Amino acid sequence: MLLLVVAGMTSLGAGLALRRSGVDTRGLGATLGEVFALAGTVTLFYLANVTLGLGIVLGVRSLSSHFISAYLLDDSSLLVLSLLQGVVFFCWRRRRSG
Amino acid sequence: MGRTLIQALGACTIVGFFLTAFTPAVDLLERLTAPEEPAQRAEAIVVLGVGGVAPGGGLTDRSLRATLEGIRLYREGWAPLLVLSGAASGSRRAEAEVRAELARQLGVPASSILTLSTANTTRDEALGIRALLEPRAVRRILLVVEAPARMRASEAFSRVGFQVATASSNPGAAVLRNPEDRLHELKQLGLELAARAYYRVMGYL
Repeated sequence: MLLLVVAGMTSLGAGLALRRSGVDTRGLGATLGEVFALAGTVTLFYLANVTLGLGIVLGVRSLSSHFISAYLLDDSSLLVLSLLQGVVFFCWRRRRSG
Repeated sequence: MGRTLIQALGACTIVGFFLTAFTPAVDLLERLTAPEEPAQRAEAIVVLGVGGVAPGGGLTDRSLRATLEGIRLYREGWAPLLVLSGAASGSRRAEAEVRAELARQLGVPASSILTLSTANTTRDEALGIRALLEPRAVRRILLVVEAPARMRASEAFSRVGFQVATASSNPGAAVLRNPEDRLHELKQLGLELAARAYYRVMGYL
């Protein structure tokens, strides 16, 4: 609960600071739409990475005597990599369409 | 994929994140997919490989927890045999050997310990342990396994002819306390679902 309170307070603070600095703060709905699209892109990359990783693990196991554990994919680094992939791809696509 | 679909996926991800991290949803999901069952007397306690051996040569936390649970069950008399599994990884010693050493140091007689250090998967463990226990006519086993993998392991061992009861290798961890633990648990459950699907397709369950 503390984490939610902290994140809520910093979000509120940032929103108020924006408003005071005179920036147009309308369009929160459209911004949320963009955030959902970004989160969706990151999720797609994560799912693709896990699926491809599992395919490689099973492929190596069946085509050779070498054993690779599927639990190698249970690593937070893959989530961060997917996040980076998603952000780069999302921004790139926006630049091209904008 | 259309933008609306990607947005819907993103919305699901964000809602799922909040549900997982800040509600007991994942605890409930785990209880549904791997219900707790009371330990039952058996002819052998089987501790499945998990986590392996750390670079320093000792057992990893997960492996140590499972091993200690197996030793505890043995000392309480749930079964007269303790089977310790776990393969070697790279140049490190086999997990099963390190576990057996610990069990002997904690008072389990060497004659009551069997090891399997060649199996890398649950299916291989089921086959290897059947080969170990068949000559002793052992049929009823008490399987020590981490909660998310409980059902798959239980079914894989039943499939090769054992009567299986299970015990959690991390008892007390069922009530998860912080958001990070819950997110980790969700990831484990996801991997376990993929593993179950694979075992079904391969006919191991």
